[in-house]
Formats: sequence, structure tokens, C-alpha cells
Amino acid sequence: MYPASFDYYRPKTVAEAVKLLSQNKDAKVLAGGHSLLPQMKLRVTAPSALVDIGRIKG
Amino acid sequence: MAKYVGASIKRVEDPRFIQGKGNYVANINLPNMAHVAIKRSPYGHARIKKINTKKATALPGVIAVFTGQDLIDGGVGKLPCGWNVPDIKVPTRWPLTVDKVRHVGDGVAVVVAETPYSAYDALDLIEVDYEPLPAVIDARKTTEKGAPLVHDDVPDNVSYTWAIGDKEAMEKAFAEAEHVVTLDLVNQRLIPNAMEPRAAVAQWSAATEEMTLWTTSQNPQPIRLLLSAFTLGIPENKLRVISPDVGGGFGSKIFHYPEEIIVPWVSRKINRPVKWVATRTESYMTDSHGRDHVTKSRMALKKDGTITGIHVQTWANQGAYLSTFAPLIPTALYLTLLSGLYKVKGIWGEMWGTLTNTVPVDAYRGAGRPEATYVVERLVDLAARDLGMDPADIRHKNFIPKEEFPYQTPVAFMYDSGDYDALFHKAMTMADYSALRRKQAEARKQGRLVGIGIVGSIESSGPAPSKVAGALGSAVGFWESGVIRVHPSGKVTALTGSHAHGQSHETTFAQVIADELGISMDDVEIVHGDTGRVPFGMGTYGSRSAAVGGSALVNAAKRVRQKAMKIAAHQLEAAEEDMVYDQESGKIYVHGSPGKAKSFGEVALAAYTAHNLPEGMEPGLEESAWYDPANFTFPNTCHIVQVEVDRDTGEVTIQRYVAVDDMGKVINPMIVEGQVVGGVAQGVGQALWEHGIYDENGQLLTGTLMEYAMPRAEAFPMIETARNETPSPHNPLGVKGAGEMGTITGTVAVANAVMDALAPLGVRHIDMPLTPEKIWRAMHKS
Repeated sequence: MYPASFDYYRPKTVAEAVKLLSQNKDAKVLAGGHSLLPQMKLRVTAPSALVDIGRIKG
Repeated sequence: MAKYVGASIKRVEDPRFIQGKGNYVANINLPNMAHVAIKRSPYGHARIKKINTKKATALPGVIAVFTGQDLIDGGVGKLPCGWNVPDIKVPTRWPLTVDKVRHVGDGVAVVVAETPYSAYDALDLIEVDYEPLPAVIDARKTTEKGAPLVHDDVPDNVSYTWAIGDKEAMEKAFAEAEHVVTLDLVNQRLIPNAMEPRAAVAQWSAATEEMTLWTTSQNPQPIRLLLSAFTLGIPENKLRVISPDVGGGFGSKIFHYPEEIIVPWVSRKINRPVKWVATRTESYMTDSHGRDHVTKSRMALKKDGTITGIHVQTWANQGAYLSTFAPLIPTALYLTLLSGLYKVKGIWGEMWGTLTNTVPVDAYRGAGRPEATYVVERLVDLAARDLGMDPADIRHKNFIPKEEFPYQTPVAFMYDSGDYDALFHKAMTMADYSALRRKQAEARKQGRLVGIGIVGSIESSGPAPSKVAGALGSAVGFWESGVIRVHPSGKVTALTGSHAHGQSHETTFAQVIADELGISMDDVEIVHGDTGRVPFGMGTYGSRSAAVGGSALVNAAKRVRQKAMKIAAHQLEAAEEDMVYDQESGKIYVHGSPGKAKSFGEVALAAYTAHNLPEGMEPGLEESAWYDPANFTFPNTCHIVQVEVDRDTGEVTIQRYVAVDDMGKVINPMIVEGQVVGGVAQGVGQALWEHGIYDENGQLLTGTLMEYAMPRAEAFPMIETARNETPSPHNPLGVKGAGEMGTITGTVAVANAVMDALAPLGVRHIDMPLTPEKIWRAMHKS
């Protein structure tokens, strides 16, 4: 259960998140991670970046 | 007189496990440790044309990549088969395959890297050029003309055949039969799911040329022997194998696996500690699977229900290679139990051990005995139905009477003891069997599908005289070792060659030894699972630990007691035969003078100071015993189950489950009850849910817990247990095996109950697992 390597972003605003997602075309949005992380650990999917939207305020 | 034996002492092991303080192989981390990942076949069957490891080797963090050929060039040997029946063809099995891949998960290369992450990254960069080949997965179809050959040197994919019984008597029984029941069935493939996946850590010492291997094994000593003599070539006295806490085995951790060879080989090669931990998916495609039989069977009877003959033909799927004990399971553990609880003369069983493009099949909790019980008890139920008899009555009619023990069956075994009438009486009283039948009749009138299963089973546990095992094809003996080391302070370290991975040795063996020596359980420490600390031994499987390992320990403790008596007699200036050893208190005194006693601790100290020992006596207080059982033990059970099948959905609900077992004398009732309840759940898992499925190309369709259905607590009522104790007459503890009865009986008990529920619809048999879909389809066909 070892995922491939990926970049991890933790934007603080919606605008920042949108920007990150537009810059990283195969990035995935990380919300809870209950579906995505097991998929990554099984190497079913291997996004180059995760954009964690859990800390966006408001 | 026993203080501890027979009492439900809380498990000594539990505080550390409950608090997460267990020490499993995956917990072992050593300085400078590297990590291994294994490149595995995505095909069921393919020729390896070329392996390119360049890109993988170049990846930062990767230390090296090795192929199967590298390992062979580096001196590894073929994995041996530990059970060789006559004329067996053992196919070649290297730790990593070189010519063809033969099942999904077959290893082709190994990466060693600084982190597990880089190791797995590198796996994706290994380029293997495969030429896919047609695959074969079915135990019987693999023997048909035109089936692809799994191994070029094993014609017809038949590795061996075996038969036992009295063929002439069987043929006569069927020629003269007043009624014959026939049943073709599939005992489906199961995938073991020990909570802890397999793992291995190896540490090579270049200075002393010693290897230490931590591995998740049920039997580290035989693994060390196999590594030394066959696969790794490091001598036994330079190789230490440790199985620390192991999180469940159920048979799947008995066997010698390729990773146990690869990991130490790599460690020596790169001169660093190396670790491998299986992912759950790897477990599914590399741990040996269980069952997988295709069977044709028939039973001959008189009109009054007397069974006169049983004939069974089984094609046992052995997978792509022969796992360590694979040929034992469908031979000496399966066909030898076809007599069940019944007095039948005309039994003949024959089988074919076949190779397919699937994971190797070997022992899985019950190992051959659930398969035999399933065949016999399904046939008996169908016979009862055909002859209009109650399933309980037909069984009673055919039981081996208790006055005929020891009873010689026509299929090799000599049953030691039992009282099947009393056993059934107890279970039927507990379940109120006649009331269950009455209520069933009422439910049927309302159109409800209520079924009752009443099943008796027998197990051959605690294998068995080594001489007999040798004659049947075993490459090893089945004795066990035990050492009682009394320290000068009177504290005891007990070494056992058996191994605990859920069986509670640390509790039950301490109970036995403390009672024998008359000391506190807290003063007895049980050590197992480390070849650096314990003598050679055979490990744990086949419900053997108490009967064989416990017997060795108790015999060693008896020797300690004898020596202690001699020392006390000498010091109290009395004759040895006048001495009393009080097993309540551990005090030793001259008969009639309990006031002038030596305590166990005093004697222990005297043995080590050696100031005042009998003339010629050697100092010290440590004794060992090697116990080779005179026979298997034969636990037996009666389980009664009530189920209801939903008319609309075909879903099965278990409404009651009563389990009465004869497991001989019981050391710790709470632990035995846990074994029964867990075993039943595992057995019912096969009846209702579990099925390891391959498609026709050899793809494993049930490769994760998402696709493979395990039993859940919510599906069970409280399992009501009771015991009917008839002590085994031939071991010093009077114990029989307790670990597998639930699994052996639970499967067919529920299967028979479901078939009984569906009887009004004319459904005779459905192959397991009895899923709602299969039941619904059967309901709507009839």
C-alpha cells in the first residue's frame, strides 16, 4: 500500500485552489480522501498533485 | 487437585495485544534497513521472453534489482515438497520463476530500495515481455485432453493420485444396495485472511556469517531446516529463524514461501538488513489457498437407513506448484475421514492431485477434514430425505457404538474414543430438537422456509505417530519438544517447539506446568517461536499444540518433579518412595511429616548450589522431553442449526446455532469456547459467503476484501456451546484438538440446514457459497 510520489498543496482560498488546479492538469482534489487515497495506495490512480481543500476558510 | 487446568484463566497474552504492544514482524525496524518489493505476474499463464531491469535499477533510491536467474546463479535452491506420496511428480518451483509465470502473483523479479515507496515505484519500471498462454483453472478440466500444460514435465497436469479403503467391499455394497444416493459437488476455493499479512525481515552479519530471519511462520524450526537444506544453503547453526507475535495463520503460515528465501538472500547480497511486508492484495495472490475440490460421490444403503458403502472420487486443485504440505491435505487428511462417525465397511476413496494456473492450495483451517465431513454429511442428509427418515435418526442408526472403541475404520484410522449417542443426546436436548422440528412444521404450513441442520463430525487432530506419517509420505516427523528450565530462584522458563499465533500457549501451557509443579502460573514463562532459544520442534497446525506440544511439556515437568523429589529426599534423609510432592503447594516432604517440607524454590536453589546433592547426581534443574504421539486424537461434535431462507430474496438468516463438542479434557474452557465460536464463524463463511474465483484466463476476480466476502459478527446469533468430554486415552493430558472442529462442522451444518429449508421446493443441492442469488435461482428453477 505505497502510493506513487505526488506534490501536495494546501490552498487557503478558493481562488488559490482554482489557480493550482488550472496549473496542474492531472491534479486531484483532496477532500476527505476516503475514496481517493485507497485508489492511490493500490496505484489504480497516480495524480501528480493533490490539492487539499480541507483548510479553505469560509 | 488441579488449580489452573479446567479454569477459564484470562489470557496472559491479551494485555499486550489489546494495548497494541504486540511485536509483529512488520514492527521490526533495524538500522540501515532496506526494503523489498516483488514484481509479480499479471497473467495466469505466460512465457517470459525478456526481463529488462535497467530503468528500474537507475531509479534514485533503488539499490538493486534481481531476477529469478540472478537468484539461481546466486545459489538458491528449488522449493521442496514436504509430503511425497508414491510416484508423485513434483513440479519445479524456484523462489522467482524463470521460464513461465503460472499464476497471477507468481514472482519474476525483486527490487531492493531505500524506502518501500521507491521499491514500488521501481516495480512499475521493470519491463517484462510476456507471451500469454492459454490458462486452465478447474481441478478436473485441467486433466482433459487438450488442456494447457502448467508444467511441461507433468503430463495431463496430474501430479499424483492416491486411494484408500476396501474397493471390493465398496463394489459389493453398491451391487447389493437397496438405495443409492449420488452427489456431484464442488467444495469451493477459499482464501485465508489472517489479520496480519505475511512479512519477513532478514539481517546478515558479515562478521560472523550468521543470518537472522524474522518471518510470519507457524513453524520456524522446519522453515529453518528447509532454508538450510534446500533453498538458501546457510547451515542451521548459522541461521536463526524467529516468528515473534504472529497475527493468525489458519494454516496459511505453515508453508515455506519464496519471500522467506528472497529476503535473506538479498540481505546477504547487499550486506544490509532487508524487509518485506505483503500488501493485502499480495496476500490474496500468494498465500496458499484452501479447499477447491471437484467431487463425485455416492452412498449405498439398506432401506432401513443402514449405510453399507461410500464411494468418493475427488479432483483436488493443487494450484500452479505443490505448496509444502499440499499432497497431505486431500490424501491422508481427507480420504481417511470418509467413515465419519459411522460404522461402514465398504468405503473406497480415490483422488487426483491436479495442477492449474492458480495460487497453490494447501492446508486451511480444517485441511481436508471439512471437505470429507461435507461429502459424508451431505450424503447422509440426502439419504435421510430419500428414505423418509429424520436426519438425526439415520445418524443414530449408523453410529460406531461406544463399546467398539478403539474402532478401526476401513480408511486407515483407529478412532481412540467417543460416545456419539451421548454427544447427540446432549446437543439435541440443548437445542430441544423435537420442538425445533415441530416449529419447523408449523412454519412450513405458513409457507416459510425454515430449515434445520443436524450434523456430526470427527476430526483427526494432533498428527500423529511420526512412523505412520513417514509411511504415508511425510518428509518430517510429528513429535514435539518441550524443555522445563527451572532457574535457581525457582522461576520457570518453558520452551516449546510448538508456536502460538492466536492459540494462547502462554496461558494454557503455563496452566499445565504450574499445576504439575505446584507453583504459581505467574512464575512460568512460555517461550516459543525462536530457533535461537527453543530446541527443534514442529510448530503448530492440525490442532496439535495441546495434545503433542502440551504432552511434551508435561512430561518434561514430570521429570523435573522426579529430580526435585530425589533432591528433597536426600536432604531430608528419607527414602525417595516415602516422599510426597504436594502439587497444590509445590512442597516436598516425607510422608506423614508435612511440617518439615522443602519448597520447590529451596530445591531449585539446592540443585544449582550443588552443595548437598545425592551421590552421582548432576547439578541443575532442567529437563526436556520429546513426545511422539501414539495416535491422532479424534475430537467429535454435534452441531444443530436453524436457518430461515427469505422467500423473496433467497437470503439466509441463522436463527440458532448449538455446538456440542468432545475435545477431550479441556485446559481452559474460555479459550476453547473462543476456538469453537471462531471456528464456526469461519466454517459458516464457506457455507454462505466465501469464494475465491478465477476467470478462464486465470485472473483472480476476488483479489481484495472488496470482492471476497468474509463473515461478519452481525450474521450470527449467540453460538451456544457445550462439551461432552471423553478424555483421549493415549496422551498424558487426555486432551484432543480444539482448534478446527468449529470450521469442520460449521460449513456443512449450515449447508444442510439451508437444503432442509429448501426441501419443500424440491431443491436437493446447491454448491457453496449459498448466496442469495444462487438460492433464488434454485428456488425459481424448481
